[in-house]
Amino acid sequence: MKIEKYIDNIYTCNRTRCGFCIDECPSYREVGVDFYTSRGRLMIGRGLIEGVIKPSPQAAKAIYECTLCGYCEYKCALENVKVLEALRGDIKESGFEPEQCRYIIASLHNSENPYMKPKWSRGLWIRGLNIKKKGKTLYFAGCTVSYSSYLKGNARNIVKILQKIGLNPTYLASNEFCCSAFLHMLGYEEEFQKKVERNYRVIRNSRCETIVTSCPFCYLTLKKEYSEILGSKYDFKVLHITQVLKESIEDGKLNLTVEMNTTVTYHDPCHLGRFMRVFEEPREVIRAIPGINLVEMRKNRFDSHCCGGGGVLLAINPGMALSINSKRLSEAIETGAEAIISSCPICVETFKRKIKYENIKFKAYDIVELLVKAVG
Amino acid sequence: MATNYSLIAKEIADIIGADKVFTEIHERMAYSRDWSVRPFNELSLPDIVVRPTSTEDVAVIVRIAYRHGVPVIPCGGLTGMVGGAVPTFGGIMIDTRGMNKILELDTDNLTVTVQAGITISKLNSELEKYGLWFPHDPESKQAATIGASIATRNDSTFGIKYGKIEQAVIGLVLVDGVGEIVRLGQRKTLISSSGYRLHWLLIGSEGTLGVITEVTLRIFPKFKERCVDMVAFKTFADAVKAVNRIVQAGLSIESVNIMCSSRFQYYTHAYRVKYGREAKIPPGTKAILCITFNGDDEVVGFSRNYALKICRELEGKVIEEEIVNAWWTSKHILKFEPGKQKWPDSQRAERFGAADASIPMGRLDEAYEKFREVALKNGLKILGMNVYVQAPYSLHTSVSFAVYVNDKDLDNIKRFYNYVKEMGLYALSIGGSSTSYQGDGEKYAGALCEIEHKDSLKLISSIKSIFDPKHIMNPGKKFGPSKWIKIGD
Ligand SMILES: Cc1cc2nc3c(=O)[nH]c(=O)nc-3n(C[C@H](O)[C@H](O)[C@H](O)COP(=O)(O)OP(=O)(O)OC[C@H]3O[C@@H](n4cnc5c(N)ncnc54)[C@H](O)[C@@H]3O)c2cc1C
Ligand code: SF4
Ligand code: SF4
Repeated sequence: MKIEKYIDNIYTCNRTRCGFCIDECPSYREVGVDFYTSRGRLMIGRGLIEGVIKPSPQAAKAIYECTLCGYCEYKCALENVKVLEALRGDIKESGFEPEQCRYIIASLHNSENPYMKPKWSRGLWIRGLNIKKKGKTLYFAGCTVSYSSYLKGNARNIVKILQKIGLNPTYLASNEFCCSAFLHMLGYEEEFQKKVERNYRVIRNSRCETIVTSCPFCYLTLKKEYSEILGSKYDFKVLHITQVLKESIEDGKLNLTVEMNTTVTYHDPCHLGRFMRVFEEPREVIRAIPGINLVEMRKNRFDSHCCGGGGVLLAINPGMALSINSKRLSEAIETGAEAIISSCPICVETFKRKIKYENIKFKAYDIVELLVKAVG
Repeated sequence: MATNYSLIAKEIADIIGADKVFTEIHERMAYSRDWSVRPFNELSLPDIVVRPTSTEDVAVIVRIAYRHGVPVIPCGGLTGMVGGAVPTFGGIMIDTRGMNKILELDTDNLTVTVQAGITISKLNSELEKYGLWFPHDPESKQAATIGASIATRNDSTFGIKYGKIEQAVIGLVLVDGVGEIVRLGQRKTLISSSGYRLHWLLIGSEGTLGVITEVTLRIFPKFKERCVDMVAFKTFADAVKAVNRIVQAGLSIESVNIMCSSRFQYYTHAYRVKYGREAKIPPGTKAILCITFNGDDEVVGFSRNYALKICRELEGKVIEEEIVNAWWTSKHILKFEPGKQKWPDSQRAERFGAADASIPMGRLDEAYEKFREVALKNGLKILGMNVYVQAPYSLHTSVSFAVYVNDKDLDNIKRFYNYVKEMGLYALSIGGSSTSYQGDGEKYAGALCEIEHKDSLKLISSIKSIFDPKHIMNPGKKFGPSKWIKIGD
C-alpha cells in the first residue's frame, strides 16, 4: 500500500491528537465530523494499514472530499498532503475512486488536459498574436487558463504584458502539456513520474531558461515536484506571473497609469500562498495600481481559507466545493471590498461561477484582468 | 441478548435525521481514541457516532439509549488525556461539536451563551469582533470545547487571575442520563445563595452525569496590553515566595507557570526551530517562573517592573526576550513556524505522558525530587515538571509531571501507569489531589477517587445514580475498576 510509506506520520498523529488541523479545515467546516479532517483521514489510513477498514465507496468519499488545501500541513509537522494523496492512491488501486476521477485521468491521457477538451484547441487563444517559436522565456498557460470560459482573454493579456516588459515569451502551443498536478493529486504517482520525464524533454526542446506561469498548480508542480523528481538536470527558473509583474513594476518596466478608485481584497490561492509562500508579490502588484485600496480578509496569507476548487473537489462534489467557496466569498464581502482578486485561474473561476450562479452583487477578477485595466 | 445497534441507529436517525448518524467503520475509527497513553494500535470503537445539533437532538439520543440500556459517551475535541471520551464498552458516541453556535451575546451584562461543542478558540475569535474575551486558556484551546473544559475541569494559563472554568460558568443546560433536559445555575449572574449549586457538580463530571449542551459564561472586555517574562530561580520555594510577594504587593498578575529546567527545554521548541540551538538558562536554575500581566500600558509597565524587582530581590535572574517569546508561542499564541508545530514534532518516536496532581505550594521542591525518584524507579525518561496556578490570587497548584512513553512497548505503558498511580498516591499522602486537570477518566476509573473521597463515596455514588440511574453515561470512567491501575499491586 502507498500509505505504508507514511506509517510514521500516521502513528505520530495517532499518538498526538492535538487537533490543531480541525477547526479551519474546509471539509470539516462543511461536514463537521472527525473523519472529514486530516486527523480523521490519517485514522482511516491507520485502519487500512491494520486491515480494520476495507476500502469502500463510502471511505473513498471521506478521503476525496478534501480540497488538498494544505491548511492541515501548515498547522502540523507531518507530510499531511502527501499522506492524503497516498490514501487516494490506495483507494484508486482498490477500484473505488470516484468515477469523475477516472474521466479526468482518461482526459489527461487522451487530450493532455483534465477538462475533456480537444488537444488541438488548447492554443487557439494565441491567434493574431505574434509569438516567438523559441526563446529564453517560456509562457506556460496551463490547462485552466487555456480552456476556461471564465478566463477568456487572460492568456492573451499575459502574453501582451510580458511583451510590453520586454520578455517576449515563447509558447508551446499544441505541444503544451498538462503539468499533470492532477495525476499526483489523484494518487497516480507512477504515471505522474512518467509524464514528468516526457514533459521535461518538451521544455528542454523549447530551449527556454525561464518558465512563467499564471497557474499556482502549474507553478508548484513545475517548480517543486519536477525538480524533486528530475534533480539537478531540471535547471529551469520557474516564476509565477505575480513575481514577474512585481519586479517589472519596481524596475519601471511596467507603468500603471489608470486610476481605479475601488476597494478590493486579495485571496491567497493555497498552492501559491501556503504551499509556495508567495504572499507579498501579488499584494504589491495590487497596491501599485493608482487609486486602489487593498483590504485584508480576517483569514489571510497562511491562514487563508480555501476557495473550494482544490483537490478536484469541484468535479467530485461541486455542491460542497461551491459551499466552501460561498464561505470564502462571504469573508471577502465582509471586508467592504467591491471585488475579490486572486492569482489562480481555478480560484477565480470558482468565485466567478458562484457569483454568476447566485447572481451575487460582487465581482471576482484575476490579478492580470485588473492589471490590464490599470495599464490602459 | 446482543445489542442491536443497527436498530438503535435507525431509531435515532428516524427522529433526528440520517445525516447525523454514522455507523460505517471508517466513520467510527476517528472516534476510537483520545490523547491518553494507550498502545499505539489499540482500538476502542463506538458502535454508533451521532452528531446532534441541538439539545433536543441529544435528549432524543439519550432517551433511546436509556430505553436500550446502552452506553452514551459525549466527546468534544478528543484531546483528553485520560481516555475520558474513549468508548470503553462501545455504545453511542455523541460528537458534541455539531453544537457549535453562539446563542446569545449580552454585551451589557458581559455574558455569552453558547452551545457546548464550540471550541474555546472559535468562541474567542467571535468575541474578538466585539472587543471581548473569554480568558479560559488551555493549550488545547483550538480543539478543546467549552463542554469538555467543564467536564474535565482542565487548566488555564490565566488561572491565577481568572481561576478554573467554574469561575466562569453562570449556568448550563444538561441532558441527564434519562434524557431529561434540565437547566442548572443562573442565567445572568454568577452569584446566588438559593438552592444548591448543581451546575458546579458538572465541573469535572467527565460525561458521567449527562451531556452538557448549552453554557452561559462570564466574559471580559479585551485588555489592551500584555507583557510576558521569565525569571530563573534556584528552588521552587523561591519562585513560590516571589509569586506570594507579587500577590501581597497588590499586583494583578495574570498568569503563573513554574517549570523545571527539562520542561523548559520542551517548551522552547519554537526557539530551537528558529535559532537552531538550545535555549540557555543560568547555571544552578531549578525553577523557571513565567509571569504575565495584562491591562493598560502604564499599569502593565509598572506591574512588570515592580514584579521583576521583587524577583531580583529573591535572587531571580531575568531570562532573555527571545527565549521568553518562544515559550509564549508554545504556551499561548500557538503560532509555530509553518509545518513545524510542537506537538506532532515532539511525539514522533516517544510520546508525552503525564501524571497530574495538585501539590500544596510549600512542598513543590519535595514533589520535584519525588517525581524524579518515581520516574527513575519505573524506568521512565523525564520530560519535566510544570506547575500551573489555578486559583484566583492564591498559589493553589495543578502540576504536570511529564515523562516520555513508548506506546509500542506494552511494558513501558504499564510502568507509566504504575508511575502515575504512585504520584497520585503521593499527592494524596501530602494533602493534595490525585488529579488536577486531566480527570479520573478511564485511567484511574474509580481507583483513586475511592481513596481520595473515601468518606463521601456513598454520596458520590448516590449523586451519580440520581443523574444517571441506569449508569449509561460514560461507563468505565470515574467509577469501577481501572484497566491500568490497581491499588494494592
Ligand atoms: C496538545 C494538547 C495540549 C493540551 N493542553 C492542555 C492544557 O494546557 N491544560 C489542560 O488542562 N489540558 C490540556 N490538554 C488536555 C485536554 O485538551 C483537555 O483535557 C480538554 O479539556 C479536553 O477537551 P476535548 O474537547 O478534547 O474533550 P474530549 O477529550 O473529547 O473529552 C474530555 C471529557 O469530557 C467529556 N465531555 C466532552 N464534552 C462533553 C459534554 N458536552 N458534556 C459532558 N461531557 C463532555 C468526555 O466524555 C470526556 O470525559 C491538552 C491536550 C492536548 C492534545
Ligand atoms: S495537527 Fe497533525 S498531529 Fe495534530 S491532529 Fe492534526 S494531523 Fe494530527
Ligand atoms: S488538505 Fe485542507 S481540506 Fe484536506 S484535510 Fe487538510 S485542511 Fe482539510
